[in-house]
Amino acid sequence: MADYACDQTAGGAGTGADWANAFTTFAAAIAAATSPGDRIFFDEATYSLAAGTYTVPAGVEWHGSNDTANFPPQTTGTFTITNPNAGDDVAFVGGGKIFGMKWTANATGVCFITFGGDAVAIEVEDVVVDLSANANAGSGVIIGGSTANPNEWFRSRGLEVLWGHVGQGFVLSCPWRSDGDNWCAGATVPTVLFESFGAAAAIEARGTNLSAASGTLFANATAAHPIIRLTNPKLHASATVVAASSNVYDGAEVFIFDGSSGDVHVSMAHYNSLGSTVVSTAVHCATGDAGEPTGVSWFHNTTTLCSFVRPYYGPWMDAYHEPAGAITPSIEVLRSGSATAYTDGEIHGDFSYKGTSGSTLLTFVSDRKARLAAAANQASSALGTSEWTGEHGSLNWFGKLAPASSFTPAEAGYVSARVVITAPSLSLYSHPFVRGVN
Amino acid sequence: MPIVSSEVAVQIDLGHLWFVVEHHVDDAGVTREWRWTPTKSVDPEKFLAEHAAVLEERVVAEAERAKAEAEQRGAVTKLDTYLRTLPDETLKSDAGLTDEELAAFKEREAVRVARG
Repeated sequence: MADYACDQTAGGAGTGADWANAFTTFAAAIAAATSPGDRIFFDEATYSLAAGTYTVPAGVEWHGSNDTANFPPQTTGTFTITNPNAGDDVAFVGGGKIFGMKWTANATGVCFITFGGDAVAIEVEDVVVDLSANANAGSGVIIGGSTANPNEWFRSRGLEVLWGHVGQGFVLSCPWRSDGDNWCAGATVPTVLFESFGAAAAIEARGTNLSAASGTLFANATAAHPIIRLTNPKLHASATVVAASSNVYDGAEVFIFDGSSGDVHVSMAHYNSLGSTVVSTAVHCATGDAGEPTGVSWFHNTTTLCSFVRPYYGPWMDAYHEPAGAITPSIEVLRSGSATAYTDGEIHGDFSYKGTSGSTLLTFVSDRKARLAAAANQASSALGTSEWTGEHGSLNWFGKLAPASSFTPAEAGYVSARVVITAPSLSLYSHPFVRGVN
Repeated sequence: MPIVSSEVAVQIDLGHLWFVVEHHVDDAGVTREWRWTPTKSVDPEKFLAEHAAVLEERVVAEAERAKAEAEQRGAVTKLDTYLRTLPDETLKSDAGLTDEELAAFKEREAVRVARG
């Protein structure tokens, strides 16, 4: 474990041992720091690097610092990387971590910055990717390297990205764990923020600032189906979360938890190429059950791609249950605008519970029509206009999704339920609560 | 394939959001959906042209990708046909295949069928 300094203006021995004797080139500094625990401190200068791949070895830290009075320095800062030629690309690989760096793309040509691509994980913190001076639509940010050789994962904290053309965006080929990033920090907003995904792509992001991202957030991935979870993001008022998909196997699957463009804290959303679930505050149900949510429902809608073969599965809901006899869980649903019941070939409920004594294993039941059976109307609910608010003035069907018979969980745990839709272009409200469990 | 007509087909009031489905019809008569959930501060009608332009770009890109993939498949098929005609010694000497690679190549269904 050693600490090294890098300052292009230093006039000492050039050993990197302290600021006075700092390395004066980027190359010399990164060549020295190769062992886990090694740290390089770069002063807040601009380093012009040739296009190419730069390795942050496993366990090695690169730091920007504004404190050249102390060594090791005591305050953080940012060093800047530029590339001299049009179209210069730069890649950072290895299993280390970069703190406090800014990459400013060359103003001309197709320029990419890549994080990863050598099958190991890389992390960045307080890093700025600045493409704002590069107005080339082909430029962008690659996370995870090539789809053939993605890194294990990419982790970022406080990453800011500024774009220079609406055609720019991310190409993601590995799992990305993100905390507190701003993926669209500048004035230019990509038409599609995430342009494409590799087969290993996934995102687990918390607190992402997407407030300026007014276009489409996630492309309909070709030959990939990334699971994307955004927890407490700030969204733009007119953003489209997932681009329409022309292929049933395409498309990102996106969960958004407590995210909105404003001060709305009830928002949950789920999108994929087959359908979506979003919160409605205009339509909701009050059953009087203890613990039920109030003032919100889930609005489900399916795309033209949804079918009995390829259903839209809504998010699971859970209700904790201590075994105490048989239960019949159910989900209250509403078709607003038509009094015609949906059939069990169009919608059904899936339910799971711990059905095996001495085991955590789940048992599944549903009220979907039996295989090869003709569809029949789903059961109507005893609830109606007295319990629901905001439904159509006269045309409504109030339904109840529930297994055909009661069951007895064998172990304490969660009884879960979800709405499943097996028909295209179908709309349905559900009360986001598993009734009949407690 | 330019988009020749666009309309807001579905607009549902979700309280804090709109649920919107737009229908964009291209000059081949294919209807393409654009689904989004803007906040209530947004007028969905004002975004029809913007979304139509994005869809047009996407349709062109999809067509180009399909064309390139078809050309690649055509080239691979022709190369396969040609390679089937070469003797094993040529594949080893000119293409540098090892015995194991040659054996793996011959395992391919098309080669097996062609060579009996």
